[in-house]
Amino acid sequence: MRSAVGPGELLTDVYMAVLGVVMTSAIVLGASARLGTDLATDAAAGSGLQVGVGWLVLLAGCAAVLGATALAARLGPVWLSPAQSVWWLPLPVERRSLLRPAAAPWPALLAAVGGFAGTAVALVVGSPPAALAVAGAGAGATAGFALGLAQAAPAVHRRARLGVDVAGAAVPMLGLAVVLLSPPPPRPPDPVVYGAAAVAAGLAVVSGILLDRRLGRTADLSLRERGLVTGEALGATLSVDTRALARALSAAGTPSERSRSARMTWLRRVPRRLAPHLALVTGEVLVLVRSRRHLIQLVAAACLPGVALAVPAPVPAVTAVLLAAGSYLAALALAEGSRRAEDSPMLDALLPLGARTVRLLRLVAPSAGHAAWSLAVFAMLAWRYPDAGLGWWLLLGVLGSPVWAAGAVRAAYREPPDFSGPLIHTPMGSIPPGMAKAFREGPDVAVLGAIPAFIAVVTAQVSPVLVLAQVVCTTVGVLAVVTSRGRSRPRAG
Amino acid sequence: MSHDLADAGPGAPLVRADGLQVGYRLPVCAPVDLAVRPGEVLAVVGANGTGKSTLLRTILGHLEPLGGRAELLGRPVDPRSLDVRAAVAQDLGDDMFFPALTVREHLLLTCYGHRVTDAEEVVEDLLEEFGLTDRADAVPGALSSGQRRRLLLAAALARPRSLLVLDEPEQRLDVGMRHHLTGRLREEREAGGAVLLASHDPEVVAGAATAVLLIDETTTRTLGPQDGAAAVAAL
Repeated sequence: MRSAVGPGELLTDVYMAVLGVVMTSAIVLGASARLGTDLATDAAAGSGLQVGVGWLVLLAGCAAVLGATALAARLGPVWLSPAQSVWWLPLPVERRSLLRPAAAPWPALLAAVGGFAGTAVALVVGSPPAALAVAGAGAGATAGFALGLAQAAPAVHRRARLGVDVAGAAVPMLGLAVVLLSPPPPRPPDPVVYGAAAVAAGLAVVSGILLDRRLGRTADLSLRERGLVTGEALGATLSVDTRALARALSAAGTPSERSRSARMTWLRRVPRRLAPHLALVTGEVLVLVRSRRHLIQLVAAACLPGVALAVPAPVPAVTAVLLAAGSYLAALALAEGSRRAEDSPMLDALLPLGARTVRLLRLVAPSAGHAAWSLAVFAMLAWRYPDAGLGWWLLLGVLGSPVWAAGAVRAAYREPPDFSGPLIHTPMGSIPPGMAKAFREGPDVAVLGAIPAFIAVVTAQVSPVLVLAQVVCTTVGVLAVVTSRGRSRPRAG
Repeated sequence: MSHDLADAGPGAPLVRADGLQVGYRLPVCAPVDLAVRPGEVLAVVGANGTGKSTLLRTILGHLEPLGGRAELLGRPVDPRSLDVRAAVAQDLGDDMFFPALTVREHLLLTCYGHRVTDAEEVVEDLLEEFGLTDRADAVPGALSSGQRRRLLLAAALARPRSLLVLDEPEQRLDVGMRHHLTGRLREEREAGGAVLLASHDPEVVAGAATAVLLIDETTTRTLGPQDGAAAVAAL
């Protein structure tokens, strides 16, 4: 069914999209070029950050390419929509020509991301931009084609996904190591860069030809599955439903069968009155430990405040912001069980537990996980600001964990945005109403509840008063989430 | 499975509706009066779109009624209450599986959570009964629609209940499993449980129901099981 959009509106949409991409690219590339200039100036003046900005931009570029590759591994890279699957797959024709349009987008996107990242790095470190752009594009395209080749064998595809996830998790760890060790930024000689560009381009061409020849071997099931997941992810993105997007991405990485089921025999030995409570918490924990993506997210989240603290002269405000971002990211990763339950409202009614008890129990696993995460992060704070003492910092971190968990659970159970009202027009485009509320619910409780921790970071001091204040803030935040009514039933009128 | 009653009192209806009007903005069927007591199986039948599923969801508290009143376990409907969740087992056809858990794990968690003794034995029996043994280590997302339906039924029957609410449980089941389901519902009734179900299957209605409620846009009629099954066949 074709949309009833006129050519004028279509041109406007295309114009806005292109304008957005061009402006963003110009800002990022301009900033990269400026960074490169400042780096040279600072090096001459003998001042500025000890951390190589070239390293930071390189790592950011790697993270972007690996992140896009991980996305490609989950959503494809070769996929057919349900309609295409129904019409095309049963046709008794040669598959390659049918699947070529489906196989091209991801490698093209990865090439674009790689080229962009290569250009940004080149502008900072002073390498030939065109060569690094080609090297980045070639690497991205090769990754996309390699994933397509792996897709023909499910076991290989799973290992490829694991490899990409591990590589992605290694980037923030590498960043931390770079910040701690302060090696000089990489600046390979120009012949090496040109050689790398030639190799990357060659690999891209070879892998592209190989994929084209083997396209017909991709199993129907894989094409359909990837198509379904991609459709869900696209729909979630267009409707700005971050929960649905997270569920689609999680579903993409879930194996269809396990070698054996957990027997959960420990639940036989718990007191009978606690059996439903522990059963629910057990379900939450199993969801989390079986989600590699979220475990990696925890590691990445810890590196955000870590990078802020590892520079020679941490800026307190920056540290507080990165601590907030990392804490919330970690909490979101740990609240996967709540997000899945939100998608299936009757799941909360499956066990003999009242609604408030369920909401409280859904805080247990995220709070415990976040407390463990906070021990590591606040140990870093204690290393950077030792005056207050390790014990006080750790206590502050652990006491604040439940409020971050409460924020993540609140975000998981928030009402979906109401897009039925008129659009809000801004210079950068139209925004559906309700978006601000949708993104605010969750972080509001968490950030307000963590104010004592932010004060401690900004002042580099932890006092008993702050710890007590954190207890109060955590209690209020948790109660606010547990006692909230939750999603309303569909109204009859 | 235990069929201990809540505060409804012996012989009192576990489900009651008085002039209950259901729908979305406008009623989809005539006002409904019904009562289901322990040992009874009430089958709600009607043509597609007459509001059978809407009626069940409203009675369970998932939708707000347009008018009239409904009671569960002798009290106004509150789906969030512990008592309702402990006493009412439901299968409305919606996927409600613990995420990332296999079929066996889902049933085990349901049994442990409801304090079922010998949970592992109960689960293995259910897996065999519903033909899911070979798929016990699969996640629900990898099951066929019929297998998922069987898993939902198994999960509803795995746990203690006073009231069983089912929405077209025969959907996506093969003939053999439908026979088996009919027998199961009869056993439920004979053991003192109460069942409220919506159905399109004359065999299930004739074989298990003690009464049939035929609904449409303008009227509701209470029929016996055989007349009710004939009415379903005529739809």
